[in-house]
Amino acid sequence: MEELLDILKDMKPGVQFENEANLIDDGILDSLDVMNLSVILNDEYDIEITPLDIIPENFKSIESIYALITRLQED
Amino acid sequence: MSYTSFSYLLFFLGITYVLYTLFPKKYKYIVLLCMSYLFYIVSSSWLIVFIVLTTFIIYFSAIWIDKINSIFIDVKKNLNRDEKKNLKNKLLWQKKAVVCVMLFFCLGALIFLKYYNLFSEILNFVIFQHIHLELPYLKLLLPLGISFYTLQAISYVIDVYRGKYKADYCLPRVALYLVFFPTIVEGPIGRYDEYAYQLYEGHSFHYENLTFGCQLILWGLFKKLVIADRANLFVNVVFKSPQDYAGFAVIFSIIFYTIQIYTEFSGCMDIVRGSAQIFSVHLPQNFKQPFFSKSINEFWQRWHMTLGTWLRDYVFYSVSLSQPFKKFNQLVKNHCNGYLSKLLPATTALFFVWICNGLWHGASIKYIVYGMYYYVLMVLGMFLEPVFIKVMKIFHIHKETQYFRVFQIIRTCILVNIGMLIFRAKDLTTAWNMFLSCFRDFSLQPLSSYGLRLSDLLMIVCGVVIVFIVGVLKEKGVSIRETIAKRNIVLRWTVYFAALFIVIILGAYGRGYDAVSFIYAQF
Amino acid sequence: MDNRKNLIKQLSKIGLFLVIFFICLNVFSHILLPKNNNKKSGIKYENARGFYGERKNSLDIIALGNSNLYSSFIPNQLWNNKGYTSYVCAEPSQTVFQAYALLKEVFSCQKPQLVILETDGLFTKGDEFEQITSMYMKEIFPVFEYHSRWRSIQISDFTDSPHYDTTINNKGYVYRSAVKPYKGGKKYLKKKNKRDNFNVFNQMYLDKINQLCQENHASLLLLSVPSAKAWNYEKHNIIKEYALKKNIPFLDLNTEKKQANIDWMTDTKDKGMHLNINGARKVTKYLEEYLQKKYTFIDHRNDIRYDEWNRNKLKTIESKT
Repeated sequence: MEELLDILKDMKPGVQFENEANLIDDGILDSLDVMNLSVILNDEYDIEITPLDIIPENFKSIESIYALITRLQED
Repeated sequence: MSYTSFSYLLFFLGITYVLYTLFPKKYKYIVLLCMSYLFYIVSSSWLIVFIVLTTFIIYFSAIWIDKINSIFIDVKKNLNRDEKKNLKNKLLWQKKAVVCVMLFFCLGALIFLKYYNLFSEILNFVIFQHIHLELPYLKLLLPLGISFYTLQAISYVIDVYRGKYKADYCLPRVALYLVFFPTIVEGPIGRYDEYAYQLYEGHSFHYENLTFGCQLILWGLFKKLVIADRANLFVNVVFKSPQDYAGFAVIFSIIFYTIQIYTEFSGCMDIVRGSAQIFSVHLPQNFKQPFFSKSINEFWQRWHMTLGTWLRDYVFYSVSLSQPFKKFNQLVKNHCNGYLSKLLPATTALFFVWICNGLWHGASIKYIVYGMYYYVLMVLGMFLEPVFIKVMKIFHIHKETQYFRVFQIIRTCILVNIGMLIFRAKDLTTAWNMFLSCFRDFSLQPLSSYGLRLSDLLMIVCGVVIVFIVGVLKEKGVSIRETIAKRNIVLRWTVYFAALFIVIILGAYGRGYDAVSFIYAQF
Repeated sequence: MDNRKNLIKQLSKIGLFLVIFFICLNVFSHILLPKNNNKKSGIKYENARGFYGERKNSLDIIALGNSNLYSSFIPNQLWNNKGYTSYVCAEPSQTVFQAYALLKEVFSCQKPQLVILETDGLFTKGDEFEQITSMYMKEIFPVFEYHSRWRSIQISDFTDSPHYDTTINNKGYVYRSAVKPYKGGKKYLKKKNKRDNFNVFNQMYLDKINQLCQENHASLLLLSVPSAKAWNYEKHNIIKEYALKKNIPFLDLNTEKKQANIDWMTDTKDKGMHLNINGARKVTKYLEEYLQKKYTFIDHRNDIRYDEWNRNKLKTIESKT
């Protein structure tokens, strides 16, 4: 979780990711950010995020992103 | 057949609605399906074979993919981890093969019919003229709505392939998804899980949906007939012989064209969405007040939204999360600094999006440049972001102030207008010359020399003001139709009748106004 | 029970709305309908509608068609040489549907013995279904045809009823003197066995015109005036076939052996599409003889009731209206 937060803060400085529950709908992350983030996460966690996983629900908050990573690692 | 024609509004919409309401719930979809095919035949005659073939292709390829998936689930339990992985890989290749076959036929038909002449021209120029070969020019007919239904077809099969939902074994539902008559000509590009089921299940008479749908159609007719077709008179005059005009005339013709294409395309979308709503079918929005956008990026998230999201889901993510692209990313990361490695992957993936966007709009170099124009703007914006931040710091500009926002909106509008110029001009040279002529000879000529009466001009201005006010209200989250519906009946009906007769009497149709077909219908 | 009540309420609201809507459409139609059949009143293509001003049942021959017809048939010449009264109800790119609508208007005030239909309008391409629908809509609610007339609306438009009494000196013929030669000669008439196809709707309305003529005891003549750009043998063949089947005379001045002797170097005003005055004189000359031979019209030149035609003779064809 800490590591993920670092990645996010590195990508988008100045956003309080801990308190945001609607990253996509509020326009904090756009499709470019999501793509960049997926590429980084694939690298860091050795997972494979597919286009199917890219839905707003998976990226709406730091918790949901973390949940996605855990799910993919188990697969 | 135009969505503003009597035959559409009275015959197709009216009769279909009556039949739809009278039919028993279970068979209502048959009315929609039959009328949709009838609509297609009336507009495109024998070219209907293309959409029927596409329907069968996606229907069977989706089922095939489903079958492959179920093989895996059946035998999964009896295998160990390695065997599982092997089988999964093998099946993945099979699934990929099915998708490729589907793409070959669906996309192949689109590419051949729409782009053959462009490609043959390019090939002739680049290669064949050196070896004394020439690809002939073919006179190809384009089936109605092929650019729209092909995208819908592809999204359905890819979603099944990705496992977003299962294949549908109900053939009429798949057929209806592709051919539903209000959406066939100009979209919006729907998604299977969002609207195929709405179409198929029968909805009984619903007063609110009927009235709200009709109001939306009326609003669309207002935008198209009163504003767009009137603006077209002036736009046509200048764009027909652009060399005769300069300065204000050209600037206004470009602005008017932007007004025209927006009111026309969004007006058409209102007619389409209203038409669907009277059958209690809710279609995705295609426009969200695009001219309030603060950046080009935002503009494309509000303009022709269903095309944007389609390109995002099936081009952008397909490219950026593919294996070759991963390797490319690795390469960039190892050889470039942080600034580049952060931007290069995104800009590369975006390139494919914008080349597709440009080509989708039309088969000519002009449209490729149109796509590239927006691509370059976006990439520049991304690479120069650090510079902008610095400049703003130096001049103490705060991003959140009202003035800065207005500045951003105006800047975006100007850039979009230049894009529209490329879109409308006959070819690139004309577009460039017109762009240059904006900066010279600012003499004013009487309106009549542009084929425009003062009353027409005033009407366009009033129309735009109304559209603007409605836009502001929508941005504030006010639902106009609901607000009116809450008023008492006298006021409400006065508004409706006034709107109806404004469209009927002030609409720029019939004698004196040449029939203007929807701009987007030819794509 | 409540549901049912609600439904009835909703349906009656829709019904009431539609009733008010139709009333309003009729009111606006009445206001916007031109009150005279001249250009100033804003009537649609006034040149084709001058028959309203002719004395009731005074016309022997009515000709329907598009621009090819109004640039090749001169009613005044026919009067001068034979004493038959005729009117050219031709509109620019008139479709067969519009021809049908106009013929109904004609029969409301005239009783022609012969209706001539120029056949080029049978081959106009376009959204036929929409053309038919809009034709009926405009007929029932003229507001759809004349909505743009709001610009020139006057108080009298609210009070007066239509009164159509304007006459047109040239009886529908449009004078053209320019000469732009067509250099292809007779090439456009290469004999072919292939035949063009009728659109279903076009044929349907040709049938309806035929029927309308029968009901009004007028005979129908299909006529093709010379046009190097518009006409070809495929079209000739299909019309010929139709005419034989329905037993309607068909006169093709393009292919006829003893045809009008059109010289494409001098007789066309726009390189073979339309005839100019030279061509029109030849075509009318040919028609004069044909009509005299095949039909029994009365020479009205000495009839006092037709004096207006004789006075009109003094005015030259060369005027625009």
